[in-house]
Amino acid sequence: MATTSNPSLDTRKFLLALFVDLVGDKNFSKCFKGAHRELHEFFWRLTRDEQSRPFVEELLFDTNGNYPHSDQIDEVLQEFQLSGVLSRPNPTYKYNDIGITTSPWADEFKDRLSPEHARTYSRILKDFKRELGVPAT
Amino acid sequence: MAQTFMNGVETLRGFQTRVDRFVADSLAGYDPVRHAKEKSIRDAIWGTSRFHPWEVAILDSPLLQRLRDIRQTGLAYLVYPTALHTRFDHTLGVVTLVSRIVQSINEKHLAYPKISHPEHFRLRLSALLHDVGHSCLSHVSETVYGRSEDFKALIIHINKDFGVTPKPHEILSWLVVRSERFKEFIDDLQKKTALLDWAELPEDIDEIAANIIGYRKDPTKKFLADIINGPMDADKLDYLERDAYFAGPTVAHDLDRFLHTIDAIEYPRDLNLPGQSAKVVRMSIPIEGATALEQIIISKLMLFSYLYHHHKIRCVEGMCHEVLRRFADLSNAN
Repeated sequence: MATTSNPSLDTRKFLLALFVDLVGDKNFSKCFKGAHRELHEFFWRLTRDEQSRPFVEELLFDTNGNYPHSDQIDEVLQEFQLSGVLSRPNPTYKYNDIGITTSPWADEFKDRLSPEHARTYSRILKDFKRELGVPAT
Repeated sequence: MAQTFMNGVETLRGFQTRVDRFVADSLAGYDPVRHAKEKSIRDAIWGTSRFHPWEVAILDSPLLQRLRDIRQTGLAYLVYPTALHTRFDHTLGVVTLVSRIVQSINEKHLAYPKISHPEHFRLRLSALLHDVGHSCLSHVSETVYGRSEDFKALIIHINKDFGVTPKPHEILSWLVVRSERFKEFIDDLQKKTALLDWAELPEDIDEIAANIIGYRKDPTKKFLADIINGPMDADKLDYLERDAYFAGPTVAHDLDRFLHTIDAIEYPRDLNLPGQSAKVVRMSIPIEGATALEQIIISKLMLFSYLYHHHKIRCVEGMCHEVLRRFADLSNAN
């Protein structure tokens, strides 16, 4: 919706960077949890955190229901599914399988981060792995 | 923050004034009493449905009749020649589906029906008016005006005030129903015909409008807004059936089973969310409807691939976006 003033903090590229970094970690499987509520709550919490907010400035959340929910996240994930970045075995999926290991958009996103944003990104990535990552078996 | 809020309030006021003018112009000279008669209408998708006199009075008004000139799938008819159905046809279908959903939910709570008659009537009016804000070529023009700076400010303001994220055309429909002229129109209809005795105006009008953007002040009634604007609302269910039927691609799903299983279920509410209530009641599909839901989601994905995201349709939509943008620039410049 609202366009971010800093083009390096494009939410779509931010998500791609998270996926690429997750699959690059040998401690984790090449997927993240499909739990709708946990996923949306994770990104909603980022909008409430001063340092993380620039990464999700574009996102608006519906807070009139039982948990915060952003149609924009669902739309981006659907686009990723249609373009092969993600695959979801069926609509009652448990995991989102990540179909990419590299992305020029993700590289560009990380290259253009300021040192402060890079530190925040590392923290968000760590939280993303802990909360939504699936440890390798 | 205060500055942003003021800008949001002013933006909303500016939009409301313009929409008020549009509604007043549209309804000028229209006498609803002459049209307020019960009607049965045949529909290719849902069969014959009965419409109440007050619904026909609104349906026959220029506000709704203009939807006959707006194709449901915009420019898709250039690729799928029979996709000529309109927003008007779709609107009738959504009203019918709302009643089926209400019936399904109430059947599961026979002793204490979840949805009263007045609530049912108000939901049908929300369905009747849910697309009244659509502009030329349906979503094609929405993509252009919805990205203007003042519209983005309006969306952010509504998100802050109501905690919902409606689409631009839903916001315009909401503004139409909230307009002073529309309230006068309903008030006039009530006084002259006494047909709307069940309604408590103007609170009901605000509720009818709020359903369109998916907002409920009372979380225990959130499921009512979900029927009009939710993850799997009557609008989506109708357009999936209708667009597939008229465009031609074959998609298969068990909608009857889906409608049979639909229910209103209570959930604990995330306590970090705004508002006092710890519970919320949402329109839900129990596990026995999961297969039907899966089929519907797959049908939706297929329709996106065949129809909504068809490369040639996207191409011609892109050209129309450019034309509309130039119109908007010229209009702003003058």
